[in-house]
Amino acid sequence: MTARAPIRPLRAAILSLPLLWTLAFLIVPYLIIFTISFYTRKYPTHLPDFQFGNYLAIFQDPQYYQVLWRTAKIAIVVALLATLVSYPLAYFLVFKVRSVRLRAALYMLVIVPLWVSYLLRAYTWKTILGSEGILNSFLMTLGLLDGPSPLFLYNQFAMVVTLTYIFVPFMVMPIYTALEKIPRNLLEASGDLGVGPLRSFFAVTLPLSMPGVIAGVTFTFCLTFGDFVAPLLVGGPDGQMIANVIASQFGATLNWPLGSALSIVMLLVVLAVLSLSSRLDRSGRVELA
Amino acid sequence: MSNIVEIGGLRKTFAGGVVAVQDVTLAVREGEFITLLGPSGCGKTTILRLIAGFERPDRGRIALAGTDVTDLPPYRRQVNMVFQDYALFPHMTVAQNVGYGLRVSGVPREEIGLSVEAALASVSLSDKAQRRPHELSGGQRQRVALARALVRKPKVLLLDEPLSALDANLRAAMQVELKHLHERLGLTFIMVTHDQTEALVMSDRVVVMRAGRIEQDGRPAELYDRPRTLYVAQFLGTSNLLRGRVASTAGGRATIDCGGQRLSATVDGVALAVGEAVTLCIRPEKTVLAANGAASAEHNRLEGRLRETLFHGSTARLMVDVGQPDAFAVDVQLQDTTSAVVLPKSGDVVTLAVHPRNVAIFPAEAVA
Repeated sequence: MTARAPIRPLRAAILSLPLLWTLAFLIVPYLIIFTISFYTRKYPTHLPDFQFGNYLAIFQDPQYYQVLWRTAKIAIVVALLATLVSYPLAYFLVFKVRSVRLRAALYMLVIVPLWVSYLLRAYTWKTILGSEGILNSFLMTLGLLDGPSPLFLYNQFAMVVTLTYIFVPFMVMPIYTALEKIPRNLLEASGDLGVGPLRSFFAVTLPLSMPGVIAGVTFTFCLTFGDFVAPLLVGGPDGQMIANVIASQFGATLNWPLGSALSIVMLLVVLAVLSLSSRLDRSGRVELA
Repeated sequence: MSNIVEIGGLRKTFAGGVVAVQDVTLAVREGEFITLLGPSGCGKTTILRLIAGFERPDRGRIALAGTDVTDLPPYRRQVNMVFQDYALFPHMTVAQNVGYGLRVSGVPREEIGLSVEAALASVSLSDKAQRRPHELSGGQRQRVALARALVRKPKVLLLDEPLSALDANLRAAMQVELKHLHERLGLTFIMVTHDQTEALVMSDRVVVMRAGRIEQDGRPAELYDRPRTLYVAQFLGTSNLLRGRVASTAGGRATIDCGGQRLSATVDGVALAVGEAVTLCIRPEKTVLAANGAASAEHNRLEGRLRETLFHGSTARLMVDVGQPDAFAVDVQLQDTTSAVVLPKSGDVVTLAVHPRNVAIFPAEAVA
């Protein structure tokens, strides 16, 4: 006891640093936003108040609830598309690539874009989809288009493509891990019991890889829901998402109370998805003994 | 009896050029309990996996009930496997696990229910039908795996080290239970194990394997009493090995000089040259203490000094120094304590007696 006593203050100091950091840069800002969300706007600033007008505005004014709905829609579509792309990819890597080294190398190739700036990767799609872009010139070379089409860029399609591309690694990682954890002899047992490969997949592989799919969908949905860059770069006028609206409330529009209320709504949506996902994950979790 | 499984000229090489099975030919009769026995890496599990269809052979054919199944995938073969770690589906209940293989074969739902119930009852697990595998003990999981395989009414049941994950007491009980199950069902069992006791207790026939080949194949007693090679003699049971040279041969007997002590052995079939280096193999329980009076004039005498006595309860094992690298083990039955056999003390000079027919001669090869 006596030997340990002098260390205690030091230990407390070390542990309190991250705590202080969290408090100062996460908890306090949340509380500030939460408080301001009940304030009244008075151009160019706002007055302390406690009223629900900002929240009411979000659900009454179509320009806000439509953006929320659009954001949710895009997040769902992106999560879905990313699953459809990532599952076969992860499955291929885990089950079809026999060589361990080749598998690790291919996996790294899927993951490595995460080390490249997100902004840069989103920007790349601008050059692919734009009127002077690769897609247009390719289609023109094939003779499928007479002139460059403006249809590929600055719309929701462009956003979905960009976001799906960006979040595929986040989806591949958990699915890959989940598939890798499935004992091979379960699939052998399935075959041994007279069940062909396709039915074995749906009866054994897919259910046992669901935790990975749930984790991936959660990542992708939440990251897309809060995305700010893709709408800005490739979204165009009808591609605004909730994060952009929030940014403009704190910027050009100077309506901090409404921006705060929108932030809280967004936070609640994300928290709801996270808790749903952890509940699903827990109920579906099985002991891979 | 017809052959249910026929394996001919089977060869399997794995990546990196490891030859797991080389040129194995084996016929399994219908209703037989056959065990592939050998150390790990001898190819026994690969043969089982080839029969199940998880592996394709490089060469050779496998026929099941007269039909060539070499190129059929596992789900088209009427064999079922009990996996070493059971491979139960963790996301299904016990009943779903057992019914899994029936659902696909188009069996009506009510019939599946009945079959599953019957299968679970036969392994005394009816009350666990709604449990998940992770809620069961090792022994219970083993029974589920068994029920799941048997409910499909396979032509052959494959068992891959089925008892290795169980503790010693349970393993002994399951050995007997599996043997009885085999007798009751009359089904063909092919088991793989590295445990010689398991093989000897349970099987009608044991196939001893070594480095991808069949070393010897026969009834348990046959293998134990007349091992064809030193490898088999050493693998099954305990053997005392004595190194020596042939001193003379006459009339089906050979006299071997083992470091000054002469032993005669029955020779059948093997041609021995005088002066040839040989290894003698003598079982501990086939040797007696000459002092206890059971030895006839025909018995070999072997002198040595008692190193130590190991008490095993019903028997005592005497470790006797007979001038060989390893001590010679002799088992003495301790059946009646009143007329107790007088056991020598450590350091005493003892004379051992062994009948020539219990001395097996092998050409001196590198001892495995």
